[in-house]
Amino acid sequence: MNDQAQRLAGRLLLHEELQLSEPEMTHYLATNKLTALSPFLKNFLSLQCRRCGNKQRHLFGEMPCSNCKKTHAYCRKCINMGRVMACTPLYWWTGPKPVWPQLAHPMVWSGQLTPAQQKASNCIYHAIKTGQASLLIHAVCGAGKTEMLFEGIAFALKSQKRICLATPRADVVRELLPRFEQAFLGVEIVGLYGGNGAHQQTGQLTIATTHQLLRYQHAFDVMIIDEVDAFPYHADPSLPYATKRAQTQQATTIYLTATPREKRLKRLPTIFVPVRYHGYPLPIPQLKIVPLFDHSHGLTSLWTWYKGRTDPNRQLLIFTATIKQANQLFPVIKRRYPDQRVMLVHANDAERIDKVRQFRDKQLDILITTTILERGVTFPSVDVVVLQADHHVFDQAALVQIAGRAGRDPKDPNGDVIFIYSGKTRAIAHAVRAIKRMNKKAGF
Amino acid sequence: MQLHVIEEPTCDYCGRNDLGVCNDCNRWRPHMLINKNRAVYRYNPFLKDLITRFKYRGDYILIEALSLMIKQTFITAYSKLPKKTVLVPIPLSSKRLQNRGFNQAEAIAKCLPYPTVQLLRRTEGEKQAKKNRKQRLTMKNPFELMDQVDAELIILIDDIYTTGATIHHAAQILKENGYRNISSFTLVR
Repeated sequence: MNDQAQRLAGRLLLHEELQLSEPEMTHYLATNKLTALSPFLKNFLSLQCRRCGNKQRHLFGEMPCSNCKKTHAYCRKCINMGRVMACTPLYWWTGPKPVWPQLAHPMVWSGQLTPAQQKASNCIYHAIKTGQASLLIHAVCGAGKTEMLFEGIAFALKSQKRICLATPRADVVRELLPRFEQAFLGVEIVGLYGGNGAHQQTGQLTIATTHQLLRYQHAFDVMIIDEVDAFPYHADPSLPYATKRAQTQQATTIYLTATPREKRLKRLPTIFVPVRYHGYPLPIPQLKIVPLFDHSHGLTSLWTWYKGRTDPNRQLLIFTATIKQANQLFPVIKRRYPDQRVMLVHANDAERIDKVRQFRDKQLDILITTTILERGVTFPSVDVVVLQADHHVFDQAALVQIAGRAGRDPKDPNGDVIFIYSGKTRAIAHAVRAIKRMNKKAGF
Repeated sequence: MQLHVIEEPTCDYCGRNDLGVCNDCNRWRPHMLINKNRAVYRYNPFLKDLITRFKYRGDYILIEALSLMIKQTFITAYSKLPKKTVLVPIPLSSKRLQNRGFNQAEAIAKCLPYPTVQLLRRTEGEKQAKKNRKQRLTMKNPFELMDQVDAELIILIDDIYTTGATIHHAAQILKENGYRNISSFTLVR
């Protein structure tokens, strides 16, 4: 029974996602261990999808259903996670609460925190212990946010709480999962992101993309939201809806960010960590302006900088605004630097995971990418170039994050960050100002 | 990448317009099972995504975006049809129909101005999309007749014509049961 409770508790699932046999199903429903909930909430005239919170009329479709022989509504917004439609309920576990293994010392991580990290770590620990409702950790890129969480998480695990670490990107889930598995031994940890097929497993500690939380309801006692201000979390209302619903009533929410911009966030109790864990300042972006009708589109600037870069052994990350631009740039770079191993990666790339891993293993020298690698991923020693930094996809938060990819390793705490653009945008100016301000606060 | 409407087919049998007459058709033609196939769109990655969303994810109303083009193509490809023309959508197995909630071939047939009759039944089987060319061409016929209709012309309706195996299996069953005049119409070739 506890197996089923662990697997199903706190989740809001479609019939086919339950993966229960017919007799089990009937038994659980008859004994009220499983409750069928109506898939849509009906208000006066509007519909709301129970799973994703969608209320917009154009995101509901109608279909003639061959099962119930009626024409009825279905939700188009969350259809990629399996169709929610009017004649099929969502199931919700109302049986016994799951019992997680009692662990005396779940944490085996023995690294040393810097004083700044320790301070933040203590605050997180305290917030979880006292059941504080929310806490914002504002830490610069490379401050070592993950390590700051360990003590708090260890405490929560010991007190049999259920924890979720939600992040906007699948790449980040893939990167964090092994780190947590090393740090916590004997704990059931599960990593969830679209298409990894693991959404049948559950654990006491869940690391998931925010989208996966659409399948949860009242599950987590501690919710850690990484990169709260990153796309798509702040752009898609169903994600805050899902994260809120995935928490229990007395849950502690910990927000992590390097660039708080929403007013709402600024009002939360905040801990600011201005220093990187290795104690060196953030690299300040160098700005290179090119004429608007420059026929090389800023590439001449790139070639000049490349010739004179401070450390030619570093790998190079080139950010472009669009996939199209990345595709155009790829052959040009390849021709220009024939002895360098160049690769291109974007969101629709089937080999994306592989390419990022190759870059991390130093099997590649230059990686051209769109904003998908803007945050969360760590490469030890890179230079960063942003082409067309005045494009609207590069907002202030994105630019600060991109600049934060450089100089992550204590062995190479510097790294060139180059913004190439033809018109200075507010985002560029504010990003540079924000980086300087953070360095100043850290005492540089 | 976008929708590519097939305006003038190069192969007068299967209705494709990218290659001339194709090998598959040379294999089917001597069997004289169908008069011809016509399709609305050419298969490309964009359409693949669209079909995935429509058929596998089940976003039914996407058909509305295509219905006008489906109707127009049908009317141009099949002008002057006999009065007793009947559309027969390729059926799904009952299990698959239960999963999907609708039959995509029926959805396509609904866009067209002729009566739809469910003449065929499909026995349980592997997904066609999961089989390779050889498996498709050598498999046993998955259809059986479940009804009778008085029709001068039957037009089989399906979503995708790839090797033509599905359409020809269905046509064979109809032919064996005395229907002489059979054509087919698909969304994609």
